[in-house]
Amino acid sequence: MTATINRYLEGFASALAVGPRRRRRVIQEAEDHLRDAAEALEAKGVPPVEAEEEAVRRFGTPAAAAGAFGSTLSGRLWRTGSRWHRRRSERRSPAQAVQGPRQPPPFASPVWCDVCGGDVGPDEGFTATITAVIDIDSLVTLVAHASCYDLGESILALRGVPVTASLAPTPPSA
Amino acid sequence: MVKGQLDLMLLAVLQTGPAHGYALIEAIRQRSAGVFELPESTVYPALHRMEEESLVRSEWGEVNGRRRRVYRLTAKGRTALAGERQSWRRFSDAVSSVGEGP
Repeated sequence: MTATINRYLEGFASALAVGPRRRRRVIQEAEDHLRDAAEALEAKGVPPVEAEEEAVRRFGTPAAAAGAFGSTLSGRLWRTGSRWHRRRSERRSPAQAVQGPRQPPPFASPVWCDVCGGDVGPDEGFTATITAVIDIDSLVTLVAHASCYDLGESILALRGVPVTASLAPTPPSA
Repeated sequence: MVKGQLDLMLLAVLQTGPAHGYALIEAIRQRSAGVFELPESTVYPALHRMEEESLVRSEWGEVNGRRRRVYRLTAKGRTALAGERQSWRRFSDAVSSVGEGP
């Protein structure tokens, strides 16, 4: 998959305003469709780059394609938050790499989580093993969102930086 | 193309068997002899809406060695398809009657 489909999916995902669970399915279906379309054109003799360009042209502009799915409140909040973090990341200097497991920061009393919409106690948290160049604000968002919506392995793209996060809840202390 | 026409075509293609989104678009293109060249993204909102209405259901499956979201017609969808076909015949007969004159 060349840069054409990657760029298209980035714009499509940026314009999509549906909830997180449905969002993953919509983006995956779009990617699968574009790959199938490009391969079908290549099978007819179209060069790979032109095949991808034709595939995205037939799919429709990212804004139109994303807009056809409508919008939900959670989706609009997600889209706004993602854009805010992207702009903030662009203004900051390149982040340091985070490698190896990180323990959640210790705190004495439950802390309100805006993403969860509830309290997160001192015994709750996740061990995330992440290898990526990522700023600390985006890391916090990544962990928070993955913990709320998708335990286990999550593949998220933050401004084109693929991040593979493996999460597992830490057992409460005895 | 109005919403009802796209729904009718998608349900009709699914009547022949389960398929994923790209296969549905290709089937519509071929069966219409190229007359219907839809923005291909339009098929997915329609499929998701029909799934919410229980006219189709979907699941992740393997197609040619790849994981794809595959849709299939439900019993309710078959009933809806029959209704849509009847509506379309009535509509097209009426247009023909008026358009072709006495």
